[in-house]
Amino acid sequence: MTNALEAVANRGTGHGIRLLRGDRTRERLSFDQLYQEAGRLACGLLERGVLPGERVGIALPSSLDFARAFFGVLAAGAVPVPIPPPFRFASLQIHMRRIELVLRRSQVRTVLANSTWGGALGSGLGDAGSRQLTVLGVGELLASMPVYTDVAPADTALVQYTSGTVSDPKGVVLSHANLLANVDSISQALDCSDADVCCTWLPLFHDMGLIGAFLCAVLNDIEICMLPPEDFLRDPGRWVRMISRFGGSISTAPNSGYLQTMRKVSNEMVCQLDLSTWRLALTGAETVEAEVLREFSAHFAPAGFRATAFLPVYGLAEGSLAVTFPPTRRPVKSTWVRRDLLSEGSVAFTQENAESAREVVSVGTPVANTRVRLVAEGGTVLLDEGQVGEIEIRGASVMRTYEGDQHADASAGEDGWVPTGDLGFQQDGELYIAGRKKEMIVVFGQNYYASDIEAIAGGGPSVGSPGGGRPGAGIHGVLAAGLPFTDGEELVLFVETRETEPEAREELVAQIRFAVSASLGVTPRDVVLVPRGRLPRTSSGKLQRRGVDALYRQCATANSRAQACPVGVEGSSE
Amino acid sequence: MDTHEDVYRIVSRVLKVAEAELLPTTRFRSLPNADSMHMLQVILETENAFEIEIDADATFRIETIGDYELLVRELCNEAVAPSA
Repeated sequence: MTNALEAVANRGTGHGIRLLRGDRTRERLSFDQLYQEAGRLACGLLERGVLPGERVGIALPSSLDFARAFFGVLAAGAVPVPIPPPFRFASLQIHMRRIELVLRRSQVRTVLANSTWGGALGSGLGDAGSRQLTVLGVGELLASMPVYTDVAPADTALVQYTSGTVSDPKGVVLSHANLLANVDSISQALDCSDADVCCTWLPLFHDMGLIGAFLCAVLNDIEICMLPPEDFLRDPGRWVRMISRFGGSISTAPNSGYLQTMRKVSNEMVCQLDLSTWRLALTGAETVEAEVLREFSAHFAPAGFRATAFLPVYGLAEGSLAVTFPPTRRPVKSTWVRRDLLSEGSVAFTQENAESAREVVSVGTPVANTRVRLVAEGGTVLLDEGQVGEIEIRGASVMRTYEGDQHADASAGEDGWVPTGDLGFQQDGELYIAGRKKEMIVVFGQNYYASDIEAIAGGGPSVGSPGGGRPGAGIHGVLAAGLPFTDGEELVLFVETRETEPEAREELVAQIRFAVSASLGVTPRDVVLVPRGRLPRTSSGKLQRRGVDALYRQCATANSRAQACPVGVEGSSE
Repeated sequence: MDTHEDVYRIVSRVLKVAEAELLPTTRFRSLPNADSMHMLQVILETENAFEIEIDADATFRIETIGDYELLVRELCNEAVAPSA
């Protein structure tokens, strides 16, 4: 990776990273400077005893210091471990307990942080145990002379914590060869050149922002305009204004990012924009809604945005990032299937206006160096189109193991195929995502395990449970579900309780909201209290998610917090 | 400008919760709609209303509306205090 950065620095184009705050440029760093400063930071790390292969935490917001830290750790022959930030107005203590698990799993001794996050880490982890943790600022590590440590392609280059549950975090271990192969695959699929301009607001601790935007652009000598995610959230219009002002040609967001931007930018504001340079608008990390893409295209057409710029993609951390991309410069391709049958695992193609029809968007074909197959329950590889199976991936970008895995290479299986937990089907050789086998809920591009949410909401043993006022008493069962709303998938919690007293029910809902939101950062759209025995269960008594959408339609109202489920609603237990 | 009234009005409007339901001990994360985008909107509207700047550091340490009001009061006092 460092050699690849050196090659970019030596090209002498002067391209680099421009950090914006609000609508203004705050700071800029050329790739040549980035290479030099990474070497100086590596020297500082080595002087402080960081060893090759050692995991080094990076607790920094989207910034030029993140770029320096990432490549500096790599130049030292060490391994960056991006650490997500705490949540605003939530319990810092709960966040630090989660981070402590990650740091312990990766045996992190050194964390690079700014004063804000560093201070929180220092105080939050102060009583975490006897393990020594050194928190350092990037500035204080810059030595006078750069040092670059040689590494082998198979050496680890990144540990990405986006898998696993709260109590059992899984770090995807990716080698230099994995990352370079994936960047190469993305570059080929997008036909990248140094004439492109990448505009991004995606967080750098997340694989889509880190690999898809940051690394892919740096290693292709593509100028990057970087807006911190919180600046986008404050005013989504900043994203399109950035693209307009700097001639952005490549930019990525989850479906919800496009939706929020469309809502916040008025027709009058659209007319002041020039989006004609935006040739690739990638969308991934959550379910792609074709209708949102059509509305976005129409809304921004007066600014020169082209609908053919949209590129719905599929990927996951276990595959470094990119797995399948559609061809560029074509309209978004979709097909209509029967929703009811899809949820049962079979594909029935239907007409657009048919009852229960659902539009599913093609995410294309495997990127270079990557293979994809669909596997049925029981392990049979599906060869016919129109059958739903679990997506498995294999190739040069695909991880070999999780961090701390006692059985190296076991995670990938003996033959190198890695199950994704996602369900898909094929039509005309292209992949369509049908749902998820893993019980995961995706809100605003972030993945949350249903089991985590349920454990926290139920007050059971979980690292995320807050110390005081935690739920638990009076709860007999919790079911977390990701249900479709106009804003995309959102979290709804169903809670079985015998509590009938209105004030106690209000308090229970507030406790559950706080526990889940403070622990995971996702706020339930709704908390539905139902009488004991009302949730769908299997014949063995296990709660099941299937059928909760129907239950929600029966139970939910605009404000269901204090309302009981209507008498007579029965779970669809089998 | 009544700090208490204005802070509660902003929180109430952005998070779509009746002001009467908001107490000093109410934790933001126990309210509906308290996701990242809405919370940043609360900060933005507060900054604009009081002409102050709220550091990220502070928002990582605050959990209740009462503490948030206290922070706003402190920042307002700093803003009007004569510089040394």
